[in-house]
Amino acid sequence: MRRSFVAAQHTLAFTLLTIAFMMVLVFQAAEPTSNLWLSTVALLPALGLLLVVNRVGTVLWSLAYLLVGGLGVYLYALGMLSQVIPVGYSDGFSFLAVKVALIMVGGVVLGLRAGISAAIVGYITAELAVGLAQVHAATPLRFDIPAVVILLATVTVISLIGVNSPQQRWAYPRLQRAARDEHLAILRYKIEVNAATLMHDTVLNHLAAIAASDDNGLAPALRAQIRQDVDSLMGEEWLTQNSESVDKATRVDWQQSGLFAAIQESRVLGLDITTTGDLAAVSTLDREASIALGLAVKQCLVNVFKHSGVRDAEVAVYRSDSEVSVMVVDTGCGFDESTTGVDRLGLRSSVRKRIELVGGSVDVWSTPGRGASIMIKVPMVAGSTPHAHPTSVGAP
Amino acid sequence: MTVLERTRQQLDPVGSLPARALAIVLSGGALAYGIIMTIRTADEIVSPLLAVLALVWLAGAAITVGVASSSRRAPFTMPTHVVVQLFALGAVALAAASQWGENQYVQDDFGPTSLGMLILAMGAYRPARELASAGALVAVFVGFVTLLKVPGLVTDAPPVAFVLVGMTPVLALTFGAGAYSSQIVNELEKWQRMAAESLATVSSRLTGGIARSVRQDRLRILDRDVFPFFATILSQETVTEQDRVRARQIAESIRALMVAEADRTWLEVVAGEDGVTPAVMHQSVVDTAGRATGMRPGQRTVLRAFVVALREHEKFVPGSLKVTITGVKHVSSGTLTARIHDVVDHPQVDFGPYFAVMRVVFPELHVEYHNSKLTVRFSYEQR
Repeated sequence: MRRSFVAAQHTLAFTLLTIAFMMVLVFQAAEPTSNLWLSTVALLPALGLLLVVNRVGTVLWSLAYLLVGGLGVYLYALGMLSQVIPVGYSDGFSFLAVKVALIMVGGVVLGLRAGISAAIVGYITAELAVGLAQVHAATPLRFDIPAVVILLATVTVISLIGVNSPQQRWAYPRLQRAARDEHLAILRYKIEVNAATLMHDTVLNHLAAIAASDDNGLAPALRAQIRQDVDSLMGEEWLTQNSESVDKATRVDWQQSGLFAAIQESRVLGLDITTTGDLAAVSTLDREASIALGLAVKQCLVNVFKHSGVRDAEVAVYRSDSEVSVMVVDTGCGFDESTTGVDRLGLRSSVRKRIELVGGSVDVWSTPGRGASIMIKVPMVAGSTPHAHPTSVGAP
Repeated sequence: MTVLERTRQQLDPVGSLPARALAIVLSGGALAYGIIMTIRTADEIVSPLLAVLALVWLAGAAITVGVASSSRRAPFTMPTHVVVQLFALGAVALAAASQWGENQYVQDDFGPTSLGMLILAMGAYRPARELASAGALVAVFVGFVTLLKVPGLVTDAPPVAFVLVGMTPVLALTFGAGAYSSQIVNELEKWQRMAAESLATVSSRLTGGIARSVRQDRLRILDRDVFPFFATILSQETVTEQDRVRARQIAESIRALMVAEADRTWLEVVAGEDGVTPAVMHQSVVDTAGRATGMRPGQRTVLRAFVVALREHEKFVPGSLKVTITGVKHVSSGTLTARIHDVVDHPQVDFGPYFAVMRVVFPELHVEYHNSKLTVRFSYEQR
């Protein structure tokens, strides 16, 4: 905050010194007989030092600027006063610009008192320099009211800077904590969605299979699958497998893609699946998106198997410049997404949320009795979830 | 919501609150300087009406800065900046016209200095590039007006020298304002990058812990019914009708739990963090369509912070918080009400920093406090 004000002061001083320099050139051009070379070169060292002070804001460099600047202003004033230049306090030419350039020495970085002291020392240096030049040139001394006004204004502004209200001090930590909580909430949300979808894909599917089984008991394959899933659910790592440490950017081929696996597994279930379109497009997805897409399509196909009343479905893959779209179509009994409570969970949890987590979207078109089409779009560059960019609020 | 502009006010709404005092001092100073210089050069005025009009226009510019810099009217927009510049330029032109032919000294004219002070006052509110380019443009205008005055001036100096004198305050203060705006924005962006990095470090450190806690939650559910049931099923050769009924029952209860979880928005989680029961929580957040999930991260962050601050406020009446979110298509509107007793100051003061941030992240925000009831209305575009 203070550093920004110092940058403003230095820029202001630089502008003023540059204009003062240009002013000498204007007078030299207008009065070719006058000799203003001393005033022309007098301000250049101060200009150079100002650039240094702006970069290295130490006390030493600030003092050097005041010293060199004061000497420059003295020589500048002496040069102008010794020529026939209409120097006055109200117009044409005055030393106000160069005086203000010294008042704006900065130094506020070190604190309020240092800033105010620097401005006052700058003012005294400038007045001494111009006063001495006037004495040497034998011109009358006069009190420069505008320079004092500018000094007072600068001191006022410096005192107003960086004053925080109690409300601000109360709010800052809370806003920062909220930003942190928000970030962690997103993290937790992602993990919860993973957990919920995994639970849905395993536990609920197995329970449904048991509920639909006959008195002959469970098929050996299903038994094995239940055993395997219970073991992995009880294991330590089932929620962190998809974590940040996995190389998300790794591309996967069609044969290893989640979509391929989903279609193969659904065929094993007994569905007749027709694939159309640009299947190779899924290889443009990164691993995370590919896994999410595969699991989502699998859930759509499981829904077709369980609820549509038909045994065939079509999976069509399209590709655009930025995303891969997969459409799962069946000609079954259809459904109304808002009224089917049970399916809604599979669609919502296992399909929608999973796809949203990789930055994609899901559209459902279905009318009871006329089949269903589910369009899943996944961006090629894994979009993080739109939740994933918490805006920082607050300041240093 | 539009993209944030690179201004201090938008990047750090809370930190920019004290800049208001500076803006008022500077714009008030610009007006005071105008009045003093007009009185001091009264003998040069040929048209008092134009001189008064010039001050009225200057007052228009100063009041616009003073009013628009309020956090209640945030953000300070480019059109407002244009209005300020037009008012100030009008004042410069009218002041020149009021002394037409009689103006003796350029340095006695208030125009350039007042204009520069107004630009400096906008340093915390507008981007550096806009300030510098607008300032350079108006400096050219001021230079032109000065050139028109030259024939009547008493000092014998080259016309370009007068133009330089006229433009000096505008250019110096404009570039000063630009440097301030640019430097502070750079610092804020640097700080935000550091904050984001430290958050990323924190989250990578906490991921394992969160995953374990989520896993524990899930296992608690599974341990109760599912695993014992699976164990029974796997241990027997056949599946009985009783097993099938039990499987459906367990599936139903898990589904019900998962639907409730899927329906629960972050806002309900935040509103429920003080330990209220789910039943009370459902009364405190009415968001049947789950539109709270459509808020952007910045909007969620400040609303989260505000709800927490509200609950921690000593005069807050527990259980009085209610948030309703409704909407049509892509536009959602929210109403938050709470009872706060015996607040000495208006809640605008106590919660000012939160409202300052909310005004930047929500396109619309209205705050009312009446009979101990605080009502905050906001709207946002569904993500």
